Amino acid sequence: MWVEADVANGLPHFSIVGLPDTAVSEARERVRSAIRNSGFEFPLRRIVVNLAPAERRKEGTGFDLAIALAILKASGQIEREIDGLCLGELSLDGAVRPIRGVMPRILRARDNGIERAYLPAANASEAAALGSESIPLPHLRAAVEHVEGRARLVPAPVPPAAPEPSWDVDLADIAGQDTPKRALEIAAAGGHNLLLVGPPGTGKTMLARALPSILPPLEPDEVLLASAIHSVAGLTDPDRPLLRARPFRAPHHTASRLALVGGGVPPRPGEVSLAHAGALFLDEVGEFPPGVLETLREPLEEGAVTISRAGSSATYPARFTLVAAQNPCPCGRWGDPEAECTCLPDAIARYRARISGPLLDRIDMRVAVPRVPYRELRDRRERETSAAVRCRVERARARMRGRFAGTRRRCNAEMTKREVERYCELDASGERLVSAAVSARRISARGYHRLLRVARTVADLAEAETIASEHAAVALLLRGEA
Amino acid sequence: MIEVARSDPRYPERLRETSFAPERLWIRGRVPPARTPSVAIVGTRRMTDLGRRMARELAMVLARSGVVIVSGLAQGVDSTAHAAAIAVDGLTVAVLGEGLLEFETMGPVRRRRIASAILERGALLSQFPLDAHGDRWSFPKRNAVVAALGDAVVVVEAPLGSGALITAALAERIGRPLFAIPGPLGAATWLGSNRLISDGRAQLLASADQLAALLRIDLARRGSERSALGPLADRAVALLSAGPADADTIAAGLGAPLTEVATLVAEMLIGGGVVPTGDGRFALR
Repeated sequence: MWVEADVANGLPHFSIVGLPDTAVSEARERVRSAIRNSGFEFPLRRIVVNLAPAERRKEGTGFDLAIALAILKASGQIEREIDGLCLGELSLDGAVRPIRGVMPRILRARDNGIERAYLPAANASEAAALGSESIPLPHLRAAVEHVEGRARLVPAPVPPAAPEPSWDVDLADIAGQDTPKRALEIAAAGGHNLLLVGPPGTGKTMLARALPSILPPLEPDEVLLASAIHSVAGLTDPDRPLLRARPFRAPHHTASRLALVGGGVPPRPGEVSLAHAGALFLDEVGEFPPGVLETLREPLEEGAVTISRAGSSATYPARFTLVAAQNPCPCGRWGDPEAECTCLPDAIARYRARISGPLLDRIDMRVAVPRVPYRELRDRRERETSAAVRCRVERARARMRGRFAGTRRRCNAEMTKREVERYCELDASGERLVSAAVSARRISARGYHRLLRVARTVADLAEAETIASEHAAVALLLRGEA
Repeated sequence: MIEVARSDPRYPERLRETSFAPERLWIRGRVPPARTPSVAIVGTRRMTDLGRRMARELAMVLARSGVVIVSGLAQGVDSTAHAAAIAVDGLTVAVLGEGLLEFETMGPVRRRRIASAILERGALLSQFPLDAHGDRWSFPKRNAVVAALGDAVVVVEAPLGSGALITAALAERIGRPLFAIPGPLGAATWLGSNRLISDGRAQLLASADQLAALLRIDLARRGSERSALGPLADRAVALLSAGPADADTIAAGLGAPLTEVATLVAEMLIGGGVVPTGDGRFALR
């Protein structure tokens, strides 16, 4: 994006062309005041600012700084060339204010060979973290002094790496629940989607919240992309702009469609994109309005979501592991040996049907989270920690990395049909079990591929080359589909 | 489909003997031979989970032993009893409160699905003309046929005012042995059936053996083919016969590690002895 300014003789006039939106058009007033209040002269001549390429719609307040500098240059108040990306909103007194979405623009600029960025002081660390030379600007005047070489500003230092993330919930905090924990481990390693079903208070939410603690660390390119998405949403922490841990998003069931998949003008990323490279947790999934859940189909299918609004559309990545939790029935006691369920059968059927078929189709594992008996709650024996589980997960991921080298796949859940056939090799016992299961349980072709993907992850966690019957059996057990 | 008059030899014997045998019957499927023992299982549409388990358990035990399960294909207890009989490849007969064609074209999908499964081995029948709608008065009339087709009638769960109590009263009138499964004290959905017992009108059904003795049959013992999977499988079956369980509960009950349980459950799933309940747990079929 280029900002050009022309200051010509004529009646005083200031216009911005190049499809500006309201926020950009209003830059006229901010720029005029900021220039004057910074001790410069706002030329009382005919000023035209062009934002190129002219056919693309321009949004937001990030152009203020570039427009002001362009006018100062065109009117001869700056003599040297300005080289670099200029981003920032101006306040009326000339101070440079922070903006949203710096990171993707820096990345884009670097793709075009622009390594220097002039940024609001509060955003400077974002560019520095990405490795660009980042000049933090407190004020428009400081920007001019710097460009003219009168008072050089020091580039922002590369922010310190975020400390080792710490997690609220560790697997060792949770008593019992061996099968759900196993399912979480498989979900973390292979990126498979998981549904936890159980009475209230048995720890579905706690289990889901333990997931981030066993997820493998972000890979370098994932860090950039996920951080950039957070930057667009204005969620970047200025002190450590780069994400360290995989995101874990848990929108409440009152979340709207826009909040979940993104939207607005300009389109902003929603929860599914914020969860990119991490996990999306839908607690009480049955309470989400069906229309909202329906919108998850595209991201689950494509790993990305396209938001189209009048005049603008945006595609945000949205490849996440879905973890959903649900009560078995409206009263939550169905199947609980300690309590009698009072729900009527059609109420239960209706309740379960609230997760639509297409969504259920994407769920790879369905696991019961039972009430834990008292003696297990009191059991003080050492339980396996998240760190130990994460070790296994990372080793399994390393195997997957080797398998998918040269492709865009990262984990087993993303395997295409062809890759499933290529990589999910069964040994004789596994073959017997899977073929018997497919015919006995009338598993569809899609279900078969899903079963194999999960089985592949189970085998990877066990560091086995081929899928044996015990791996396939675990996948079949966790499938849980009636 | 056939239409039979009361004089027709294909008209069910048990029904013809009674005072309220309808003039005509429309039958789809095969009505089991007259000598086959049969039990009518009835109850409320709005059943609790306990009622569902009772109806299912009883219908399965009986159907497995060759008893025909008769009911009215209504929601709730009726449908559960039919479905349980089908699940063990047993015989079951559904008596409709509307015309057969009316049901087949306009009936609720869930019941039509059960109906088509019933037809694989059993029959649907109706005393109403093909296109008759179901009505306030037609369902009680249907109940009379249900009661007449059973050698005994079992009320599983019925609140006061339930249609199942009408079936019970009609069973008394034609002298069919009447049983009721007792429910929890004070449970509204069991008030009617509990009162049948306390008033001395119905016998308390404590075990399917009572019905076996009455019908002079032996109850089929299950699990013979399961022993093939070994003693661990037998213990798993014993564990699951108390109700559905999740993998952790099975593992704890057997004292076996999860991988072993996974293999065991997988084999039982393949063998068809065990089915997933859809919420991550497993139940005996």
